[in-house]
Amino acid sequence: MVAFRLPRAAGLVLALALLVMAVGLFALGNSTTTSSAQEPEQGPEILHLLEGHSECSRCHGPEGVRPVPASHAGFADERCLSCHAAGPPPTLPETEPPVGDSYCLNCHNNPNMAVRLEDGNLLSLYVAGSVYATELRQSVHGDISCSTCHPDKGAYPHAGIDMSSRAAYRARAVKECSRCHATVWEEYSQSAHGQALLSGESESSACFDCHSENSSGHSIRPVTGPQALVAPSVIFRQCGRCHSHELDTYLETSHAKVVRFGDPLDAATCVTCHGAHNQKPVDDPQANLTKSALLVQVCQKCHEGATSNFAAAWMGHRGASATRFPIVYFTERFFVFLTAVMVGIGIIHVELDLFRWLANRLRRRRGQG
Amino acid sequence: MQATTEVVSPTLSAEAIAALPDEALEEAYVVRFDAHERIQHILLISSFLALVVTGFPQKFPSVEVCQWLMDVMGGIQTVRLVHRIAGGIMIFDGIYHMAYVSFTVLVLQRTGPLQMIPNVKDVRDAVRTVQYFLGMSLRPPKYGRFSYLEKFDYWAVFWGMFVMGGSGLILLFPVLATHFLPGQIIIASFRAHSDEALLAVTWIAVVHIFYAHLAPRVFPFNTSIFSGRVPASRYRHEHPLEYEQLVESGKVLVVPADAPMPPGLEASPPVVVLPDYLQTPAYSESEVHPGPAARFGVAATDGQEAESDS
Repeated sequence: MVAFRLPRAAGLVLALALLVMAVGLFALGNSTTTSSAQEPEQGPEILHLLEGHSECSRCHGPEGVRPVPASHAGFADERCLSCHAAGPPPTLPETEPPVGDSYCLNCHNNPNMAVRLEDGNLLSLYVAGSVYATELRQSVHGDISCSTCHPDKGAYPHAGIDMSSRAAYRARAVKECSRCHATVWEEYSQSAHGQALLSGESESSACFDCHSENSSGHSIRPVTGPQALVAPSVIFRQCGRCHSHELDTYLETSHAKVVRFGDPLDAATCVTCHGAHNQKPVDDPQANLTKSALLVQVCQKCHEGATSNFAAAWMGHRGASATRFPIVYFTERFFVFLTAVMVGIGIIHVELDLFRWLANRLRRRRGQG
Repeated sequence: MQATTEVVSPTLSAEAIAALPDEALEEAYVVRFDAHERIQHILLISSFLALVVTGFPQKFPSVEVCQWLMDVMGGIQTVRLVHRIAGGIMIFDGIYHMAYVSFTVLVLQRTGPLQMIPNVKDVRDAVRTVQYFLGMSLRPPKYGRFSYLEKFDYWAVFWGMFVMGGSGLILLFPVLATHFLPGQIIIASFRAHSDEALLAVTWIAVVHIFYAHLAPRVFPFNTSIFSGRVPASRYRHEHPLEYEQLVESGKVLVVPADAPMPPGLEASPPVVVLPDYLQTPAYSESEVHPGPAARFGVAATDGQEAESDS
């Protein structure tokens, strides 16, 4: 009986809860419309200083940052201040660095906060409270404040972001990492990723692309432990976010199998051959991974006594063809053919045999009946 | 011959033995495999199963179950070690078999193993069997010691042993292999090992399991490769040519009914073994029993349907 009543009671509670919510929402919706209707002349306060901000609509538009109600469509900038008053100036003196993180979040917890870059793209400046409270606090940088990595934003008002593009912004962002991680920076800034990124023209991998799950400097994970993204057992996923074709071919190798079955220290991962922070383009003559005698040295890291003939087994993240790795290619083809023929013959033979047995039985039964 | 069981030559004539009905032959058997062949099969089946269990999870790392299996079996390194040991046992078994065949043929001068070599009759048998399956002929062809399908099965395993053993050794010693072979051979071996494994398992699961377990005439279990012997009532229909030859050439022995198989018999297969009560006059009177002619295919000349199962 209890087991029967429980769902009904739960259903009642749920229905009641829904009713309360519906009533509450209705009341809330009513109250907001009423209050705004009651005060037509006095709009919400402007929560920032007005110095240097003469074009309100540059930020406040129907679709842009900090959108305005649809009823404001077509209003000229001059009209804004007739209803909206400038809010109180920042209470914090500009000379008192750095401000606490909660102060930053006063503005940056707005989902619409963003800046338009010169190339027309929007760069979000939003830091969700939840992101701040969990991702950032639980990241390896959980103990440092906003202004450690954003030193020029240590006080308000602070300089805006004046970047031509996302790529330029990213090239600027990684330099903040270099201030503490100087040794790694030496390698990274000379690497294929670093060179491309620092040119400001390519969105190549930045520090936070590999070291966080969502390419955010606010969620840098440790390099070891279960949270790690760049540990040998999982590094291929991070690399594969950009190098998906290389990932697919890697996953077909015996290296990948051992890695994925939880023994990553015994088999080659991406960084075993390509390096972690010092990757070079594979066609770079100075690189440690080209189709030359240098490749043998890479193989020899694990395969003692490997020769250039051994290194020639590496197919370079590409499939075999009749002209390229023909032995591999024809082996693959042959086994597809052989499997199809053998399994086909086997199944047909068994089925014919069963068919005959069944036919004999039926005929005999009919003969007897 | 061992002293425990008395083995004697039959007093029945070859014709009388050939005319014995299936019912009379239920306790008679043919010794088909000797101890070596049975041990070889036990080694093969156990190493094969171990290789499948430890190999297949390695083939599909992205499948959740395989990850779980790998953990249960003690991780990749343990699994690979077991796989290599099992592979070693299978290779040893292959060498053992080759040595056994060579010794049997060259030293003992027995031609049994040579009958595994395919010939024109096998092609004809295969065609006629399919015709029989399709109802185009009234009875299947008469098979000798090994039917065309048994030969196919044997040579498939023979080929598989070379492919799996060879590619497995190359994968185990890749650096060594590239001292003699082009580098590509490592990747080719990797593909071959994986593909041939899938083919072997499919073949065993479909064809071998059917003919050794699921086929109506042997269901649920054809035990001959483990016991070495097959009931004569079945043997005369499965391998009629060999059975007739054995009876005609006098490779027939009589043992006391219910006696265990004398160990000496399995040293020289094939041989037909009859229980001694068949020597009594009652069994030689052909009117009492209709004889095999009316029972199986032989009588089909009058247009009646042959029965393939017993």
